[in-house]
Amino acid sequence: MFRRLRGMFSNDLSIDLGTANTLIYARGQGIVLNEPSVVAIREERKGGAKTVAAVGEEAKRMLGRTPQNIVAIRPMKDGVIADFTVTEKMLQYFIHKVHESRLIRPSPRVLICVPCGSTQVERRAIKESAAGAGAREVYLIEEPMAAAIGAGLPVEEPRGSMVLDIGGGTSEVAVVSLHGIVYSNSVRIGGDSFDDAIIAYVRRNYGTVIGEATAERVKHAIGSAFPGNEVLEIEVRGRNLAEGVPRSFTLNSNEILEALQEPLHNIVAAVKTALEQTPPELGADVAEAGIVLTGGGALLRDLDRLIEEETSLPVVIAEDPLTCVARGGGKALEMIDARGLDLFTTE
Amino acid sequence: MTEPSANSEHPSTRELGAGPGHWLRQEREARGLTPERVAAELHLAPALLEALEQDRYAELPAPVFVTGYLRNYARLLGLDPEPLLQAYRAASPALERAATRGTGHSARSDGSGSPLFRVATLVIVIGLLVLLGLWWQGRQGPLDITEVEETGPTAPALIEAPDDPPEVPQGPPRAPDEVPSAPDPAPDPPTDELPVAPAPIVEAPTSPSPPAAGDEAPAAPAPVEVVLVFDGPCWVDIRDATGEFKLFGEMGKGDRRVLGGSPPYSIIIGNAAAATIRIDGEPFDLASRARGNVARFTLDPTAAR
Repeated sequence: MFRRLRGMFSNDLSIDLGTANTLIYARGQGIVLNEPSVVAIREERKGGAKTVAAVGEEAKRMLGRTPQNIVAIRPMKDGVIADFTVTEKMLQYFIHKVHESRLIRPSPRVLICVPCGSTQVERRAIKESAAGAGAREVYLIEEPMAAAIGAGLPVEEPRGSMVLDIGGGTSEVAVVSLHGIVYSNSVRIGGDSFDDAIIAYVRRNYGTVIGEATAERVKHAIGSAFPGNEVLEIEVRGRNLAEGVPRSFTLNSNEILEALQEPLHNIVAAVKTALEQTPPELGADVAEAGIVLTGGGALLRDLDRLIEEETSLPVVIAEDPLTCVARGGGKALEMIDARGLDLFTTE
Repeated sequence: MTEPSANSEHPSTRELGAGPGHWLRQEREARGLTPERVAAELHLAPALLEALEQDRYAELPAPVFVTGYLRNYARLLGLDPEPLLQAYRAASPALERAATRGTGHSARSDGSGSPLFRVATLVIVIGLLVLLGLWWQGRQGPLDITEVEETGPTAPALIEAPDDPPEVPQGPPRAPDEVPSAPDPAPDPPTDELPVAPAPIVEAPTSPSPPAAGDEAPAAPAPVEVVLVFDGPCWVDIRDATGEFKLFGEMGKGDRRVLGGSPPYSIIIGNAAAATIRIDGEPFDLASRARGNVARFTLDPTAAR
């Protein structure tokens, strides 16, 4: 009763609880929060009380740079919850942050996007953790569906549209028609796998260890998925394994392209499998219009060209691919309220 | 060499109202590329490329694809995609605005809707508080009722059971009333009949004209008698058509009231389960009018019978 009353003073939220970033879209306001899914936890002495030291952007800066009494963790792994309590705390913090100026404790309706490959247990965990964070009602929607709606694909038409959402931990490929998912597949490869591949490559070829943050910086600066005309370079520092001291060296975009071959190949394979498995009529629709890329991974330079060359289909990147899923979730909430559609998945 | 010409040409084409496709086509021809070659490079069907170059957006898929095609085409030709996309948005106002306004508008209506919603809740909450206040007043006001009862015989406001001395309003009627109503309903009608006789005596001068009652019982042109019997605490608010007669307040267990005034009555009974209405001795189905144990209805006893 009181939850419902409080709910009248809270906005409906659509949350893209991603491995790398959490985005919150509030109805009528747009994207209101975009922060890394990182929580820093302070534990004063062994076995003592744990407190949250920082969440989001601030905690991300601590990743890999913490003293002994603080651990910065990413509570989501491969698109699902790895640490239940910490995820709950993080969600609680984010929901409060969105409702910062409110007197009454927020109790919004929340829609959360889950990877289509997640299991019942994983979905249950996400639902429970959102409920624990103060949500009045929790709905789940499959990520590729939200991505397709957010990208502006004609999901309501009897027409196949293929969407490839490359997130931090998972990549989802799905064919959507008539508000439903015809085919979906999820591979546990995403932006994080690219970072890991870069770390492994540097270690193998330069005998030097670099951190995750550095690998991500390299990826953003010179990472590409398809051989381009120009070769970009970046100078990085890492600890040389043989000498044991930090060393500076230069990486170029061709090396990074080589490093990324394996994860990229897996993503392309997932897309090809999806095309094979799609019913022929829908496959023809996809072949005509093309594949839409969403998610942060779509920002990797020339990824669309790689998939275009591999599949011989037109590939387009959605506008603002990072926020597609959260925006799509928000639109899904509106569509459901307006037309009583049932877009949600059950547990 | 072609870049500056493209930039200088761009504003003029936009002024002419030509879409981005027109401009892309010119650029393609300047570079000596055939449409087939471009279609193969972009992996687009030749028909789609033709529609794109001629700005026939109706034949192209959703805007998200068109912007993507334009971007890829611009990349192929080595152009900056931004002006092209702007030109596309300008050239297809219907499509693009519909898409953007669709969300924008609903967002705005949400913005205005939720405060409205909040005001509505506030009104409801205030209404509930007012109702609670009224109920509380009603609880404290059995005094009002006795007052009305006392004035009852003089003004035709409320007709008590006949043998009821006004000083002791609740004592005597309780005993005869409870006995017949509780164990078996059979002896109930006679007790109900009792007040029938005195009722018209008081009633007749004030409201002699309920027409239906007139036809039915020509011998005694008695208006239909409505008796309320309560077997538990119950809040009631009853008003007749003229507004002169009213019964308002909380009734106790065993209370019995006969309605005076002129029908139809607007009736609110707070605890419908504890109240029984008899119209000329016939039980009236109160349960069917009750919603969540509160009955709110208009009773025209002549019609109800």
